Amino acid sequence: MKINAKLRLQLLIQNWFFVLLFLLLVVLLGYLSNQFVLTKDITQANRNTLTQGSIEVLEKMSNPINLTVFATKDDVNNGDIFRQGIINFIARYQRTKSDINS
Amino acid sequence: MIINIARKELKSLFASPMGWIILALLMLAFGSFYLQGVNNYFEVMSGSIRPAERVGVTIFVGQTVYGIASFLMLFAVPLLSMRLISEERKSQTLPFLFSAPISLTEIVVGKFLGLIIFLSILVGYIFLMLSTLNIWSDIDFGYLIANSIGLILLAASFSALGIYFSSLTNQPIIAAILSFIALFALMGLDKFFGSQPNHWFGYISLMKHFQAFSRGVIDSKDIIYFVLFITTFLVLTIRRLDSDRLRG
Repeated sequence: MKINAKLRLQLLIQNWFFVLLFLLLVVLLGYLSNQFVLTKDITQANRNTLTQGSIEVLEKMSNPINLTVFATKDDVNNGDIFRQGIINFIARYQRTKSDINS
Repeated sequence: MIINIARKELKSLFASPMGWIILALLMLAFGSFYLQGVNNYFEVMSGSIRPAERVGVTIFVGQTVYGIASFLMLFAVPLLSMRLISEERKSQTLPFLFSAPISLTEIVVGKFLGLIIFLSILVGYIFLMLSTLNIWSDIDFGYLIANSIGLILLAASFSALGIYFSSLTNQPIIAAILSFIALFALMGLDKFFGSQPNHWFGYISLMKHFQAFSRGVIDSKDIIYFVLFITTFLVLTIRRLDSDRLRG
Protein backbone atom coordinates (compact mmCIF):
# COMPACT_ATOMS: atom_id res chain seq x y z
CA MET A 1 0.00 0.00 0.00
CA LYS A 2 1.42 3.33 -1.05
CA ILE A 3 0.91 6.14 1.44
CA ASN A 4 0.20 9.53 -0.08
CA ALA A 5 -1.22 12.76 1.38
CA LYS A 6 -4.82 11.91 0.58
CA LEU A 7 -4.66 8.48 2.16
CA ARG A 8 -2.93 9.92 5.22
CA LEU A 9 -5.78 12.42 5.70
CA GLN A 10 -8.32 9.63 5.33
CA LEU A 11 -6.53 7.55 7.95
CA LEU A 12 -6.38 10.53 10.30
CA ILE A 13 -10.11 11.23 9.97
CA GLN A 14 -10.89 7.55 10.39
CA ASN A 15 -8.81 7.34 13.56
CA TRP A 16 -10.41 10.41 15.12
CA PHE A 17 -13.89 9.15 14.27
CA PHE A 18 -13.08 5.85 15.92
CA VAL A 19 -11.80 7.52 19.09
CA LEU A 20 -14.82 9.84 19.24
CA LEU A 21 -17.35 7.05 18.74
CA PHE A 22 -15.53 4.79 21.16
CA LEU A 23 -15.55 7.42 23.90
CA LEU A 24 -19.24 8.07 23.22
CA LEU A 25 -19.94 4.35 23.61
CA VAL A 26 -18.02 4.30 26.90
CA VAL A 27 -19.97 7.30 28.23
CA LEU A 28 -23.25 5.69 27.13
CA LEU A 29 -22.42 2.40 28.87
CA GLY A 30 -21.38 4.32 31.98
CA TYR A 31 -24.70 6.17 31.94
CA LEU A 32 -26.68 2.95 31.47
CA SER A 33 -24.78 1.30 34.33
CA ASN A 34 -26.10 4.04 36.60
CA GLN A 35 -29.68 3.38 35.56
CA PHE A 36 -29.73 -0.36 36.20
CA VAL A 37 -27.92 -1.13 39.41
CA LEU A 38 -27.41 -4.46 41.19
CA THR A 39 -25.88 -4.36 44.65
CA LYS A 40 -24.82 -7.08 47.03
CA ASP A 41 -23.74 -6.56 50.61
CA ILE A 42 -21.26 -9.30 51.45
CA THR A 43 -20.27 -8.26 54.97
CA GLN A 44 -20.84 -10.82 57.71
CA ALA A 45 -23.39 -8.77 59.66
CA ASN A 46 -24.93 -7.08 56.59
CA ARG A 47 -23.79 -3.71 57.91
CA ASN A 48 -24.90 -1.87 54.79
CA THR A 49 -28.35 -3.42 54.56
CA LEU A 50 -31.51 -2.52 56.51
CA THR A 51 -32.92 -4.75 59.22
CA GLN A 52 -36.05 -6.84 58.63
CA GLY A 53 -38.24 -4.39 60.57
CA SER A 54 -37.20 -1.40 58.47
CA ILE A 55 -37.71 -3.36 55.26
CA GLU A 56 -41.28 -4.23 56.32
CA VAL A 57 -42.02 -0.57 57.07
CA LEU A 58 -40.67 0.43 53.66
CA GLU A 59 -42.79 -2.23 51.94
CA LYS A 60 -45.92 -0.71 53.44
CA MET A 61 -45.17 2.58 51.67
CA SER A 62 -46.38 2.00 48.13
CA ASN A 63 -45.91 5.51 46.69
CA PRO A 64 -42.58 7.07 45.74
CA ILE A 65 -40.98 9.00 48.59
CA ASN A 66 -39.48 12.45 48.07
CA LEU A 67 -37.07 13.77 50.65
CA THR A 68 -36.05 17.41 50.78
CA VAL A 69 -33.03 18.11 52.95
CA PHE A 70 -31.65 21.56 53.62
CA ALA A 71 -28.00 21.23 54.52
CA THR A 72 -25.00 23.54 54.52
CA LYS A 73 -22.55 23.01 51.69
CA ASP A 74 -19.77 20.58 52.48
CA ASP A 75 -16.34 22.06 53.06
CA VAL A 76 -13.83 19.25 52.60
CA ASN A 77 -10.96 21.33 53.98
CA ASN A 78 -12.74 21.77 57.29
CA GLY A 79 -13.91 18.18 57.35
CA ASP A 80 -17.59 19.10 57.02
CA ILE A 81 -19.46 16.23 55.39
CA PHE A 82 -23.12 17.10 56.06
CA ARG A 83 -24.34 16.34 52.54
CA GLN A 84 -22.08 13.33 52.06
CA GLY A 85 -23.27 11.94 55.39
CA ILE A 86 -26.93 12.32 54.44
CA ILE A 87 -26.31 10.73 51.02
CA ASN A 88 -24.56 7.77 52.64
CA PHE A 89 -27.38 7.43 55.16
CA ILE A 90 -30.15 7.46 52.53
CA ALA A 91 -28.20 5.07 50.27
CA ARG A 92 -29.07 2.13 52.51
CA TYR A 93 -32.78 2.90 52.15
CA GLN A 94 -32.47 3.43 48.40
CA ARG A 95 -30.93 -0.02 48.01
CA THR A 96 -34.17 -1.56 49.37
CA LYS A 97 -36.73 0.85 47.89
CA SER A 98 -35.47 2.30 44.65
CA ASP A 99 -38.06 5.10 44.34
CA ILE A 100 -36.77 7.18 47.24
CA ASN A 101 -35.64 10.47 45.73
CA SER A 102 -33.78 13.27 47.35
CA MET B 1 -0.04 -16.47 23.36
CA ILE B 2 -1.28 -13.88 25.85
CA ILE B 3 -0.09 -16.17 28.64
CA ASN B 4 3.42 -16.32 27.17
CA ILE B 5 3.74 -12.53 27.09
CA ALA B 6 2.32 -12.23 30.60
CA ARG B 7 4.83 -14.83 31.82
CA LYS B 8 7.69 -12.99 30.10
CA GLU B 9 6.64 -9.70 31.74
CA LEU B 10 6.38 -11.35 35.13
CA LYS B 11 9.82 -12.91 34.72
CA SER B 12 11.38 -9.61 33.75
CA LEU B 13 9.79 -7.96 36.80
CA PHE B 14 11.40 -10.52 39.08
CA ALA B 15 14.67 -10.59 37.15
CA SER B 16 15.56 -7.04 38.15
CA PRO B 17 15.95 -5.84 41.74
CA MET B 18 13.25 -3.23 41.03
CA GLY B 19 10.36 -5.69 41.34
CA TRP B 20 11.66 -7.26 44.53
CA ILE B 21 12.42 -3.88 46.14
CA ILE B 22 8.97 -2.48 45.38
CA LEU B 23 7.35 -5.67 46.67
CA ALA B 24 9.44 -5.63 49.86
CA LEU B 25 8.96 -1.93 50.60
CA LEU B 26 5.20 -2.07 50.04
CA MET B 27 4.87 -5.14 52.24
CA LEU B 28 6.90 -3.43 54.95
CA ALA B 29 4.55 -0.43 54.81
CA PHE B 30 1.39 -2.57 54.90
CA GLY B 31 2.80 -4.71 57.70
CA SER B 32 3.65 -1.72 59.89
CA PHE B 33 0.21 -0.19 59.40
CA TYR B 34 -1.37 -3.55 60.20
CA LEU B 35 0.61 -3.85 63.45
CA GLN B 36 -0.19 -0.26 64.36
CA GLY B 37 -3.89 -0.93 63.77
CA VAL B 38 -3.84 -4.01 66.00
CA ASN B 39 -1.96 -2.11 68.72
CA ASN B 40 -4.32 0.83 68.65
CA TYR B 41 -7.50 -1.23 68.60
CA PHE B 42 -7.89 -1.84 72.34
CA GLU B 43 -6.66 1.62 73.22
CA VAL B 44 -9.27 3.29 71.00
CA MET B 45 -12.11 0.90 71.87
CA SER B 46 -11.62 1.29 75.63
CA GLY B 47 -12.03 5.03 75.13
CA SER B 48 -15.18 4.85 72.99
CA ILE B 49 -18.40 4.17 74.84
CA ARG B 50 -21.13 5.15 72.40
CA PRO B 51 -22.28 2.16 70.29
CA ALA B 52 -21.79 4.05 67.01
CA GLU B 53 -18.09 4.45 67.75
CA ARG B 54 -17.50 0.80 68.48
CA VAL B 55 -16.48 -1.14 65.38
CA GLY B 56 -15.15 -4.63 64.87
CA VAL B 57 -11.44 -5.35 64.61
CA THR B 58 -11.73 -6.27 60.91
CA ILE B 59 -13.10 -2.89 59.97
CA PHE B 60 -10.79 -0.99 62.32
CA VAL B 61 -7.61 -2.60 60.97
CA GLY B 62 -8.93 -3.21 57.45
CA GLN B 63 -9.85 0.43 56.93
CA THR B 64 -6.31 1.56 57.79
CA VAL B 65 -4.53 -1.08 55.71
CA TYR B 66 -6.74 -0.88 52.61
CA GLY B 67 -6.83 2.91 52.79
CA ILE B 68 -3.04 3.12 52.81
CA ALA B 69 -2.79 0.35 50.18
CA SER B 70 -4.96 2.23 47.68
CA PHE B 71 -2.83 5.32 48.27
CA LEU B 72 0.55 3.56 47.94
CA MET B 73 -0.55 1.84 44.72
CA LEU B 74 -0.72 5.35 43.29
CA PHE B 75 3.08 5.58 43.61
CA ALA B 76 3.98 1.95 42.95
CA VAL B 77 1.97 1.25 39.79
CA PRO B 78 3.43 4.08 37.64
CA LEU B 79 6.93 2.87 38.59
CA LEU B 80 6.08 -0.66 37.47
CA SER B 81 4.06 0.22 34.37
CA MET B 82 6.45 2.86 33.02
CA ARG B 83 8.81 0.47 31.33
CA LEU B 84 6.23 -1.86 29.74
CA ILE B 85 6.20 -0.31 26.26
CA SER B 86 8.48 2.72 26.42
CA GLU B 87 11.51 0.61 27.25
CA GLU B 88 10.81 -1.68 24.31
CA ARG B 89 10.76 1.41 22.16
CA LYS B 90 13.90 2.84 23.74
CA SER B 91 15.90 -0.36 23.24
CA GLN B 92 14.52 -0.74 19.68
CA THR B 93 12.87 -4.10 20.37
CA LEU B 94 9.36 -2.90 19.52
CA PRO B 95 9.71 -3.68 15.75
CA PHE B 96 10.65 -7.26 16.65
CA LEU B 97 7.56 -7.54 18.80
CA PHE B 98 5.41 -6.12 15.97
CA SER B 99 6.83 -8.57 13.46
CA ALA B 100 6.22 -11.58 15.69
CA PRO B 101 3.17 -13.65 14.70
CA ILE B 102 0.95 -12.18 17.42
CA SER B 103 -1.63 -9.42 17.27
CA LEU B 104 -1.22 -6.05 18.97
CA THR B 105 -4.16 -6.86 21.23
CA GLU B 106 -2.35 -9.94 22.49
CA ILE B 107 0.82 -7.92 23.19
CA VAL B 108 -0.98 -5.20 25.14
CA VAL B 109 -3.31 -7.53 27.05
CA GLY B 110 -0.41 -9.86 27.82
CA LYS B 111 1.71 -7.06 29.26
CA PHE B 112 -1.30 -5.78 31.23
CA LEU B 113 -2.02 -9.26 32.62
CA GLY B 114 1.60 -9.72 33.68
CA LEU B 115 1.45 -6.55 35.74
CA ILE B 116 -1.94 -7.49 37.23
CA ILE B 117 -0.59 -10.87 38.35
CA PHE B 118 2.35 -9.09 40.03
CA LEU B 119 0.01 -6.65 41.81
CA SER B 120 -2.41 -9.39 42.85
CA ILE B 121 0.49 -10.96 44.81
CA LEU B 122 0.37 -7.82 46.96
CA VAL B 123 -3.42 -7.94 47.32
CA GLY B 124 -3.26 -11.61 48.22
CA TYR B 125 -0.59 -10.88 50.79
CA ILE B 126 -2.72 -8.17 52.44
CA PHE B 127 -5.65 -10.60 52.53
CA LEU B 128 -3.51 -13.28 54.18
CA MET B 129 -2.08 -10.79 56.66
CA LEU B 130 -5.54 -9.63 57.75
CA SER B 131 -6.80 -13.23 57.87
CA THR B 132 -4.30 -13.95 60.65
CA LEU B 133 -6.59 -11.90 62.90
CA ASN B 134 -8.94 -14.87 62.70
CA ILE B 135 -6.70 -16.74 65.17
CA TRP B 136 -7.98 -14.79 68.18
CA SER B 137 -11.09 -13.21 66.78
CA ASP B 138 -14.00 -13.95 64.47
CA ILE B 139 -13.35 -11.69 61.52
CA ASP B 140 -15.55 -10.57 58.67
CA PHE B 141 -14.25 -12.32 55.55
CA GLY B 142 -16.92 -10.72 53.34
CA TYR B 143 -15.50 -7.30 54.15
CA LEU B 144 -11.97 -8.47 53.27
CA ILE B 145 -13.10 -10.06 50.00
CA ALA B 146 -14.99 -6.92 48.93
CA ASN B 147 -11.95 -4.78 49.71
CA SER B 148 -9.61 -7.14 47.84
CA ILE B 149 -11.82 -7.10 44.74
CA GLY B 150 -11.93 -3.31 44.92
CA LEU B 151 -8.18 -3.03 45.35
CA ILE B 152 -7.45 -5.33 42.40
CA LEU B 153 -9.85 -3.37 40.17
CA LEU B 154 -8.27 -0.10 41.32
CA ALA B 155 -4.74 -1.37 40.66
CA ALA B 156 -5.85 -2.72 37.28
CA SER B 157 -7.21 0.70 36.29
CA PHE B 158 -3.95 2.30 37.40
CA SER B 159 -2.00 -0.18 35.27
CA ALA B 160 -4.20 0.36 32.20
CA LEU B 161 -3.60 4.10 32.41
CA GLY B 162 0.11 3.51 33.05
CA ILE B 163 0.40 1.32 29.94
CA TYR B 164 -1.30 3.99 27.85
CA PHE B 165 1.15 6.68 28.96
CA SER B 166 4.00 4.23 28.52
CA SER B 167 2.99 3.79 24.89
CA LEU B 168 3.13 7.54 24.27
CA THR B 169 6.81 8.20 25.00
CA ASN B 170 10.13 6.43 24.72
CA GLN B 171 11.38 7.70 28.09
CA PRO B 172 10.16 5.49 30.98
CA ILE B 173 10.57 8.30 33.52
CA ILE B 174 8.33 10.65 31.55
CA ALA B 175 5.69 7.91 31.32
CA ALA B 176 5.89 7.41 35.10
CA ILE B 177 5.55 11.13 35.88
CA LEU B 178 2.68 11.60 33.41
CA SER B 179 0.72 8.63 34.68
CA PHE B 180 1.35 9.64 38.29
CA ILE B 181 -0.04 13.14 37.67
CA ALA B 182 -3.03 11.78 35.75
CA LEU B 183 -3.81 9.23 38.47
CA PHE B 184 -3.44 11.80 41.21
CA ALA B 185 -5.91 14.09 39.44
CA LEU B 186 -8.34 11.20 38.84
CA MET B 187 -8.15 10.17 42.48
CA GLY B 188 -8.98 13.63 43.76
CA LEU B 189 -11.57 14.72 41.20
CA ASP B 190 -14.42 14.29 43.65
CA LYS B 191 -12.72 16.76 46.00
CA PHE B 192 -13.02 19.59 43.47
CA PHE B 193 -16.80 19.50 43.78
CA GLY B 194 -16.69 18.40 47.40
CA SER B 195 -19.46 20.81 48.31
CA GLN B 196 -21.87 18.99 46.00
CA PRO B 197 -21.30 15.28 46.56
CA ASN B 198 -23.80 14.24 43.87
CA HIS B 199 -22.22 16.31 41.10
CA TRP B 200 -21.69 14.30 37.88
CA PHE B 201 -18.04 15.40 37.84
CA GLY B 202 -17.32 13.26 40.86
CA TYR B 203 -18.49 10.20 38.91
CA ILE B 204 -15.19 10.16 37.00
CA SER B 205 -13.18 9.95 40.21
CA LEU B 206 -11.55 6.56 40.82
CA MET B 207 -11.65 6.92 44.59
CA LYS B 208 -15.43 7.47 44.72
CA HIS B 209 -15.94 4.05 43.16
CA PHE B 210 -13.49 2.36 45.49
CA GLN B 211 -15.40 3.68 48.52
CA ALA B 212 -18.35 1.35 47.94
CA PHE B 213 -16.01 -1.66 47.96
CA SER B 214 -14.28 -0.38 51.08
CA ARG B 215 -17.65 -0.46 52.89
CA GLY B 216 -18.17 -4.06 51.88
CA VAL B 217 -20.77 -3.46 49.18
CA ILE B 218 -20.34 -4.92 45.70
CA ASP B 219 -22.10 -2.61 43.29
CA SER B 220 -22.59 -3.36 39.59
CA LYS B 221 -22.12 0.27 38.60
CA ASP B 222 -18.70 0.47 40.26
CA ILE B 223 -17.52 -2.77 38.64
CA ILE B 224 -18.74 -1.53 35.24
CA TYR B 225 -16.97 1.80 35.79
CA PHE B 226 -13.63 0.07 36.45
CA VAL B 227 -14.08 -2.34 33.52
CA LEU B 228 -14.92 0.55 31.20
CA PHE B 229 -11.89 2.51 32.46
CA ILE B 230 -9.56 -0.43 31.82
CA THR B 231 -10.93 -1.24 28.36
CA THR B 232 -10.83 2.42 27.32
CA PHE B 233 -7.14 2.77 28.04
CA LEU B 234 -6.20 -0.64 26.66
CA VAL B 235 -8.05 0.11 23.40
CA LEU B 236 -6.37 3.53 23.18
CA THR B 237 -2.98 1.85 23.69
CA ILE B 238 -3.69 -0.65 20.93
CA ARG B 239 -4.74 2.17 18.59
CA ARG B 240 -1.62 4.12 19.44
CA LEU B 241 0.66 1.16 18.72
CA ASP B 242 -1.27 0.42 15.54
CA SER B 243 -0.68 3.91 14.20
CA ASP B 244 3.01 3.53 15.12
CA ARG B 245 3.18 0.31 13.15
CA LEU B 246 1.53 1.89 10.10
CA ARG B 247 3.89 4.85 10.06
CA GLY B 248 6.87 2.57 10.60
